[in-house]
Amino acid sequence: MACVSASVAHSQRELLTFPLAPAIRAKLSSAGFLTVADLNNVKPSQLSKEAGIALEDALEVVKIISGEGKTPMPSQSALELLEQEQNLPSIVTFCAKLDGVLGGGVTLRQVTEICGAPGVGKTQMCIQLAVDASIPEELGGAGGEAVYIDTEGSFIVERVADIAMATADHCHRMAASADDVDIGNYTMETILAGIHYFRCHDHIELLATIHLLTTFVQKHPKVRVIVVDSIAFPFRHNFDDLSMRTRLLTSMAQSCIQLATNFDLAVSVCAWEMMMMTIMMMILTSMAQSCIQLATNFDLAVVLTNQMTTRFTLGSNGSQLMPALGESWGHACTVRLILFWENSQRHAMLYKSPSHRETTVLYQITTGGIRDVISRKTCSDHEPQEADGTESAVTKRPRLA
Amino acid sequence: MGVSIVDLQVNPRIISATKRAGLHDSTAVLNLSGAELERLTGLTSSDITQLKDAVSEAVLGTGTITALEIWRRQCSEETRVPRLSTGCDQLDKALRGGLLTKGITEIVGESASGKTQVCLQLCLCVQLPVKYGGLAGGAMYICTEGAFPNRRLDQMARHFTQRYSRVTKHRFTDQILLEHVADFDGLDQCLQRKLPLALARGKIKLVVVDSVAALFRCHYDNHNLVGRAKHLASLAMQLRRLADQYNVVVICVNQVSANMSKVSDVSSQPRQSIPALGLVWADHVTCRLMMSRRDGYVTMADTFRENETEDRTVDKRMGTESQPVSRKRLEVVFAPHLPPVVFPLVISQSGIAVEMNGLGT
Repeated sequence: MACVSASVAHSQRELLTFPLAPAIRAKLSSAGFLTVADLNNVKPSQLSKEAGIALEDALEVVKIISGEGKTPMPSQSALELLEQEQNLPSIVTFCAKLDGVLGGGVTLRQVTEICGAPGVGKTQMCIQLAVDASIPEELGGAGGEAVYIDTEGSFIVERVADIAMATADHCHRMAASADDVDIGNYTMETILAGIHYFRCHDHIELLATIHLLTTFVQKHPKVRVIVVDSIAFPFRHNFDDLSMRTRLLTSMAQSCIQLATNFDLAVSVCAWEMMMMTIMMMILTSMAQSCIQLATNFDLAVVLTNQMTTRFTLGSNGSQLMPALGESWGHACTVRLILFWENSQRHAMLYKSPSHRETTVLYQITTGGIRDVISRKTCSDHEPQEADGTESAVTKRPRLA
Repeated sequence: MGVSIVDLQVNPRIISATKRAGLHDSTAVLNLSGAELERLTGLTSSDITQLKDAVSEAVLGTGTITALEIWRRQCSEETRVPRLSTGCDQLDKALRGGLLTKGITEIVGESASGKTQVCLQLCLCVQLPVKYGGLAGGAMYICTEGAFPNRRLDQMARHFTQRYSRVTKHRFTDQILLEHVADFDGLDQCLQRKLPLALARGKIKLVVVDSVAALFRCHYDNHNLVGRAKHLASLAMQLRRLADQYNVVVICVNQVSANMSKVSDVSSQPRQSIPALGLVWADHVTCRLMMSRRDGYVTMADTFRENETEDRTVDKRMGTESQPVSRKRLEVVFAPHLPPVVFPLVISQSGIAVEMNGLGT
């Protein structure tokens, strides 16, 4: 029954909604071809004659319309989706509490945003996730590769090597303690070889990189996580450059006319400001969209970092720290994690998540990467935790001695 | 800026349609969404995908690189990513080779905590041959606060000449370009014109801005924080761009302000004083080093009692062994590759060094 109504809906779909060139679209509609049903059993040669378009164009029209008809989106039941989701591995952070909050780690097919003030550990978290994407499937990891897009220039390979080394050690220890698990030659070098690094200096390069990621991910099907550190940096700062704004404005003037009708460009800088914000938002949302598409199409996780900004409120509080890029960006990500300092300890707060409730947990950063905070009482019996605990204890000492 | 549409390797039909729509370079194309491009150029969506792919490839140019390749390149001796030595072995070891030749390294601290001393020493170190931890280049010192401590530099340079007499014969003070800047015009002129020119010649390997805070704190009042933020961001962008382009070390000195709110969002503990200029600036800083004073004086002899280093023999020769030295503290607040650690420092006539006996204090 559902199937029949779907095909009816398809035959009545208007041709305007297909991705056709505007000129062809206009000619088709003036020739009376309005819905898919009108094109049923019409041969390309006939179409080209009747609508007055070239034969190639007519061929393409038929191809696009029938092609779309042939591959309808398969519908799935919620149960199937749940099963699929449960079979997907997630990428652990190596901080058990944080993983618990996130539901087993950073989930594939979702966009996770990490916000935090400078120095709180966003980059460390990113490197950790890029490394952890490689944890072998035998140990419940994703066993894949990572794409690391660096806009701030804070990707220091020595640090990555540290974390990779610690992760490899940890995995080998776990494999040794479990029976019949062989993770082969899983070493720091194999981890590093699986991290694809892109350096983007401005938002144009970032846009270009994200655009090409689809092809890249098709070529590297093992990629399980895309990390963008940070998304805010190029968009917050390059757009402050007035001369570039002017260039952007003039080059985009035509396309922006519709948008700009509401704002009087000639009058004041304020209107400019608003217009630039609109354009920036468009770019950002389209970028968010392509991230989401990547995440769902290729079963991988996307991790973005965002900076914090001070928001002044008129209330009694005065000012508070907020994730940058504004409210509308906040809608773009499925999961939002805010990192902050309190009482000289690092905290992570799950701020937004469709499946888990808001929680705050502690974490720490050691030489080996992100770890749980071990309180003195609990670190006695649990073995992997103990290993981490000794590891962190070593790093707490100044390295000078 | 950007790649011209004409140079792209796509169907000429697509190029002419794009040009007709008034889009002439990569920036214009990438800033628009697919639907908008279709509407503007009248091309089909598959054409637009082709166009965007070509533009993106042209913008990015070279292929991708994996972390392993970067790691191997750093390991191999000849193409090692250079670091600038601080002139003190222990400090270098803890900083994993020294200061980064990318991004902005900030040195922040109260007045008289030794920030300028560290900068002066770096100006000397940068001139050493690469083998000895330097970058074999000169330094540009942009001074916005008071007068440049010429005599102190001269004193340190004499010690340096002694210490490295076997390594290099050149005069250390010759390769330090000094810029006194008293206002924003001067600073912009310096950063937009003089500095890129000097860097392009390849002689400059270290840029010191001492300090960023002075101008920004006195030229903007509290009503114009947005303006200040924008100005600060454009300055930081320029410095970062130059650092990335020419692989130079950029040091920015920053002042502190009293921590009124006792919040700990920037550092690990609520401190008495926090770095000035706020989050806008901190977002641009790659490594933040904080300096502070410690009470009391020790003598040079006390400091190096345990290890007979080369420095010590120089000090003996110069007769400065019993000179009192002032004690400071250097702390790594954040850096992408370093754990937060604290070093006890001493500043003597010859420069800065880690105090060996002061580890416990």
